[in-house]
Amino acid sequence: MLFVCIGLAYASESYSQSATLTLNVNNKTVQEVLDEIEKQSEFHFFYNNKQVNTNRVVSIKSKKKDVFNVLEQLFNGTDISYKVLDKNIILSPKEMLMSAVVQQAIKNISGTITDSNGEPIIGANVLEKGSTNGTVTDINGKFSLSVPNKSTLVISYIGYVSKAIIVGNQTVFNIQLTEDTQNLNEVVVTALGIKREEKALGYAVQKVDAKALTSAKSIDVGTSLTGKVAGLNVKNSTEFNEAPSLKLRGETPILIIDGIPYGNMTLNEIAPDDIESIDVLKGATASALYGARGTTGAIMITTKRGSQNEGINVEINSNTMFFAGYLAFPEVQSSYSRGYGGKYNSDYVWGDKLDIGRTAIQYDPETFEWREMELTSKGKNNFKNFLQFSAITNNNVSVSQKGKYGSFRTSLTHVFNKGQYPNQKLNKITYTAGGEMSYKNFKLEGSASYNKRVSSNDNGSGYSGSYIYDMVIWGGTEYDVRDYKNYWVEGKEDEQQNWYDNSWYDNPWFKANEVVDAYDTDILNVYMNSSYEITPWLKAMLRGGLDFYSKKNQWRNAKSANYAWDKNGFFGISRNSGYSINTDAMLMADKTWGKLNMNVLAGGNIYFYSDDKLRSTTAGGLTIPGFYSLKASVDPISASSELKRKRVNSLYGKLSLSWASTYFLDVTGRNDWSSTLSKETRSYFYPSLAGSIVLSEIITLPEVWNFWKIRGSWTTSKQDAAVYDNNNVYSVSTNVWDGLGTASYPSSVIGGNVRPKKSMVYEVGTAVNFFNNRLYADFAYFRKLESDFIISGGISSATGFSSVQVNFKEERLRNGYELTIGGSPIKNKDFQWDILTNWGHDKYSYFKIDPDYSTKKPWVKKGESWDWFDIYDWDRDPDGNIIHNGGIPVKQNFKTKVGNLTPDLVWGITNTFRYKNFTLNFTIDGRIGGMSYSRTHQMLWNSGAHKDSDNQWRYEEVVNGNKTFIGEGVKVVSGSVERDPDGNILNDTRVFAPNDVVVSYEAYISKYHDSTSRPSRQNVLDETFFKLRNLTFTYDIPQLWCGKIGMKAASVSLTGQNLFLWAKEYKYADPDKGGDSSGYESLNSPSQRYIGFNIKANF
Amino acid sequence: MIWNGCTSSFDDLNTNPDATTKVSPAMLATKVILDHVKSASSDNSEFMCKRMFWGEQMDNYQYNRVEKGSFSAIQGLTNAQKMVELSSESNKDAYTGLYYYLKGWAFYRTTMDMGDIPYSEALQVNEFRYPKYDEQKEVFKGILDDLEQADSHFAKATEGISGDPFYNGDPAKWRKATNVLRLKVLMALQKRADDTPELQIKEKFAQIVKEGNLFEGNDDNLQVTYSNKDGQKNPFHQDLTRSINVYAGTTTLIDPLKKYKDYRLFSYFAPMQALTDPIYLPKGETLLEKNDWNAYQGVEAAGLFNTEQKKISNKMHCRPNDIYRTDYVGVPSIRLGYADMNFVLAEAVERGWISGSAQNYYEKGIRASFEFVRTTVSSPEYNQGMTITDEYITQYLKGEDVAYATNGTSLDRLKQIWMQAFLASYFHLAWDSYYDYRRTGYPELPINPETNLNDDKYKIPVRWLYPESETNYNKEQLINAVNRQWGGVEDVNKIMWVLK
Repeated sequence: MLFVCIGLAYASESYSQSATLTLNVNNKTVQEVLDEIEKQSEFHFFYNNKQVNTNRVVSIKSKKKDVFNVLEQLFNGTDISYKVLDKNIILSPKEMLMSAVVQQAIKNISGTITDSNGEPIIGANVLEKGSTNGTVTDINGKFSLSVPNKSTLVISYIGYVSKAIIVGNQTVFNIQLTEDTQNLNEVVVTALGIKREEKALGYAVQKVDAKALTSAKSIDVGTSLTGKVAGLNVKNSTEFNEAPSLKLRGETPILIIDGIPYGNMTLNEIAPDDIESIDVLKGATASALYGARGTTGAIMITTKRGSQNEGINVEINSNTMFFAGYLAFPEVQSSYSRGYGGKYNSDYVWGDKLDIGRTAIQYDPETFEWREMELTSKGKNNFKNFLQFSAITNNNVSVSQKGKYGSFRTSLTHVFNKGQYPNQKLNKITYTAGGEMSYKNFKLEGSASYNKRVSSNDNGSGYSGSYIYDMVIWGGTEYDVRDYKNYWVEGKEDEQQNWYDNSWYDNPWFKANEVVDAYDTDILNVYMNSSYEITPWLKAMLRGGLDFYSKKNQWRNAKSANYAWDKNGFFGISRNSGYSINTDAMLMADKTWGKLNMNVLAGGNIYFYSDDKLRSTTAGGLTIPGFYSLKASVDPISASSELKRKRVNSLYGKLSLSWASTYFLDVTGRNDWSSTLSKETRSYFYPSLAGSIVLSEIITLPEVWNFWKIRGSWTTSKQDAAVYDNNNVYSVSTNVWDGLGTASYPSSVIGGNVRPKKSMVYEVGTAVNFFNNRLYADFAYFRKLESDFIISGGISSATGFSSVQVNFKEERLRNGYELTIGGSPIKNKDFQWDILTNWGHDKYSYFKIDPDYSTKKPWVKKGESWDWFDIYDWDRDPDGNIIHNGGIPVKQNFKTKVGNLTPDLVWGITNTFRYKNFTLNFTIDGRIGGMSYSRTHQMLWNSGAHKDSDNQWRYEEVVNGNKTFIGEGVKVVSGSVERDPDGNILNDTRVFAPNDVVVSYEAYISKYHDSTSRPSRQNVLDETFFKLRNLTFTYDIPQLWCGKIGMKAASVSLTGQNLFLWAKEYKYADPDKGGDSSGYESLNSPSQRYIGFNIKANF
Repeated sequence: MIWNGCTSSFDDLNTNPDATTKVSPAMLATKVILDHVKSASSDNSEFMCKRMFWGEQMDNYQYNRVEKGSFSAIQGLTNAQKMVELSSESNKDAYTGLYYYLKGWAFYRTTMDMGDIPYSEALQVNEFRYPKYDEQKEVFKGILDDLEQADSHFAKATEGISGDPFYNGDPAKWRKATNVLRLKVLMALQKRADDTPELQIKEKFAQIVKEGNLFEGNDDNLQVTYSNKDGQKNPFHQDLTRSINVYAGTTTLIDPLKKYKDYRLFSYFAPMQALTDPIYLPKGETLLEKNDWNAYQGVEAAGLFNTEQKKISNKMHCRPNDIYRTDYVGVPSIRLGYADMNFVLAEAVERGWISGSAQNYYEKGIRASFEFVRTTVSSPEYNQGMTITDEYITQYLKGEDVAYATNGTSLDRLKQIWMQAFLASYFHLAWDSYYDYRRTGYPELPINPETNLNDDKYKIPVRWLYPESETNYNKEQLINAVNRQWGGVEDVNKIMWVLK
């Protein structure tokens, strides 16, 4: 028990005489007692712990006694004496004290800390060297402190070179700190969670400012990374609950949390408030020690462990954002009704003219009957009227504590997202607790975090069956969707929806509530890392991480749903769960001989992954409408299961050498044994090499040029096959026909011994700094050659197989440049402007063609790009005019390459302006190039809903029955053309004339903008765009005010996300998400702007 | 190494407990038989043969725009090969018979679609990944041999095929189907009957007929019967073919039916909604009974799209009968049928390949078709009460245009046979009518140069282009084949050997 009570009697006497202490201590160390006294009173102890044994255990009882009494009890019988100088108490061996007291007279000093411009530095640390005695500077850069005469002051501040000053006789200090020339000493987290100085690295690593993540919190941390890292392309979805896609140098990077590459964790499971730092390791060299899983680079997340400062720290961060308009919205014409041939009907939007008094037999949602009604555009705003006001809240509370032996932090985050479609609700809770402790040579850290997500309905996006599909593309405007809110036909609840169509489209209110895909996910991950310092230069480390997830999905649709799982009603349930275990054991040695430093690491890793899926659904409908249960299945239920397991054992090692902190060299090697490969090929080794030279240490550079480093690296990495890829097994289905089951043999020939996929990367780069860190740049060039792809190589189907599993002889190259330029163009006491710009360009090309398995398309050649997008283009004359046949454009019978899927440039610019307590931060980012086929654009035209289809041609045709449209292009007057199987012309005698055939506008447009699975050339769009991604305007509440209400710090912000979009060709859908991996955009939901506010408080 | 020792369990870990390397031949048989028989109905085939018109958009087949074909039927034979490998001594013959039957079928359809195709080097993945293309004549020789093999294996079979959903595994029935197919293949070679003695086209045909293992009635049909079970539902039900309501019967099919006073009209189609449903009745028109002949009118298959579409949007079109659109059981789809076999036999008699009465075969064929319709569309709800009685059939056979033109020319009679085959094939025998049309030119399908999307505006294409997978992966052999056949030109209007 330790109990301290300090009673203060404010009197004229000195503090030491007036203060009283009440202590009740049993078997505690002297250290603990001193700490407690310091904490509870204003006393400061000064001592050298080599002279004063503070580990001695004591028991003290004191009731309202003064400090002298307590000290007497503490040191009675020892050779330690004490000297009390008001609030300062010096402990020292008796014989030394007498002389020391004379020299080390305690005195009060004060001073001002400024930067090189003479501007005060707020919050700089001023510390007496070798003690815990210290303070921080106030808003004017001033400090005051009591120190012994002969002490040394250490002044430090992030971004500045620390300074040590001997106190001597001076009492007032004016100290100027110089800015640290660079991230020079910036520490980044590298593979296996090892912290390294950035200058020592031979590969590209970019640190992301984690602070910004917590001001404009999005649902997924991934969104916040957009534009922040050169070479990272984040494609943000507009769909409810859909995580953004992250591509680093064109590939999906592995996510590493606190050094652990989990199997089931995604960025979505991490709360921004729990992130200490994000480091993006760009190339395979950087993550070479993670083996196969790290060949695509890594996003390293370090989570918060404890508070920065000693004591208890409580932080609250609350963010609320809501809908504030659309960036991209699929607009429609409202002049013509649903139907075709200029007549009202239940499909297409090529119907009759609205609002001119025409009538049609229409469905009446009040009487549930069909009757003749006037055709009016009463549903002009149907889609907007259906959408709901969406909002996101993200609240976090965290409590952390730091003490002598360690720290602890616990944090709770709740995210609520109300989507734009009715019945879309997501609740997400993340709870995490973790800490670290150290005792002597032993260090232990650990954490556990739990994430729960519950989503009410994810259904309603994509092409078929989405809300846009039902309401925008095929919906028409002659009905008012609000009249359909009562979505059941009276008396037929649970059996018949109240709607005009019974084959394709659904009442959207019915869909929102009765066609449901809901899920409930739990993810837990735990982490432990222990290290023991065997000798000052040798450390052993054991680290383990485990994650576990369980996801329950429930699907159901009511009877009469046209676009769902079963029109006769459906219920399905699935439970997926899995876990992964990742364990590393390492030995690390670090030794310095003069200027040479050597660091050696050797370790082993075991990775185990298991994934288990179960799914059951009703079949043939529901016996009792509205009873959603497997028991309601009409036919025997259909069920399936899946189990996937994988294990990889690895041994690895790393040798790092540095000379004079100027030359650095890293060599790594790793050998994996993977269960997904056959015995012959399952063991594979890959080395890496990286080096850097700090040229500024060798060459004398102009004074403004503070730092220059060059770096280079090389890696070979290998990647195993996917689980069961080499299993040559039958697929079996049960109850296919009258109880009979079927089996089928794989369509690919499997059974050879495939080798792991191989890639070889080299990378060079340079980093420079000018004007004391006011301007910096980092440039990287990488080249990755991939070979030995494990593919299903195409063969003639006449063999009885469509492919053979082989190692592809085709070799593919990825190369690219990344450039980061940033700095602080303006920086003074009140005003500061920081800017960070990122630029990334990738190019993907064939390096070698496989004579057998490379596709024999004409553009598949060495040096040509492999991320091509091909379609059946229009047949064109030699001048490129579209050829018409009977007035209708003709499609070619062979495919043509129209462009590349990947953008030419991905860029982002972040600006931060700070004026006194106000900070404005915003990011603009975008992409240049990259093609995708926009279904939104094509199908708006095809269906007749497109705004621009409301024109004179259509009017003439529908209202007056006149065909007036002539397609732009040519027609063939005579002759013919002969082509080879690739479409190359062998013989052409065609004579062309301008097309003059008058055709139906409707017939022409619905062919020119062909059906959904047949992309038309003009709807393959360039995705070029830029966005004002986010903006935060923050006011930091002055410390003075905070203090008054018991807070350490607080701020309020106005925040905005997805604020502005400019797109080159995309108009009705957001190109940010753009096309999928095959280049198909599928009716992306409206892109919404969010604005809101953020409140942070720190107690 | 210790580490290596830790990998002993790896093979177990990487073995999927949920997949198997062992299956029964029955499961493979079910798979291959279903794949084969379920493809008996195809709406694209109806569009191409101008029996049906699609009112949504300008359908490619409707307007003769033919693109790439596929080798997937051949690829599917791997399952049949595995089925034979897994069969036991006692049921080997039945499964081997089935394999050869399916093999003959797959190559027949594929060569009929495209021309020269791989045959001699096909289905041997270990030896030939890029098989050469054989001349069509050689392919047909192989097909005929395979089907002969099928016949002899079925003849020898002592045990049935397990897993057969349609013939209950009866080798005798499969043998009949095999021989019907052989007759069809030989008839497909009709244009080459006189100049290709090595194939013994006529001789073989006569011999098969003589041996007599042929269909004896509709009960022998190889056909798929749908039911109200998941996965077994009539594929044209509006849940599955959602645009079935804008499918419209064409004059090409409806006009002859009306002309012949053919009751099948009422079972094939639903009457025009505009004239039979008061709510849609246009002003000035009289409401008709659903069994009124005037309530049935075809759209012009080669008409201007928006003109025809307007009829559909005005509901002045005949949708497929409600039994196709709204009944899960629907109408069975015939893959190989007794009616069709009789029309083939009738033609063979007319051509002098076999002896017998062409009229007899012709009338048997018609009778079979009516009987099929009578049993499958029996409810008045669907046939509008126009019941097909025996008396009616007898009457029908005496009709002016139907009665066998014994006094006319041989071509007159052939045209009658072909027309009846065309009328009987509605939603059956996918693509057979198209193959027959290519060979015979009858019934004359409408061609409108104004609307024809074929490069040759006066023709209907006569083949598909070779599959994209072949231009991607077997290009060299493909180019050899195209060079050999058409001087390097790949075109849908090029005439293949069998049609020359």
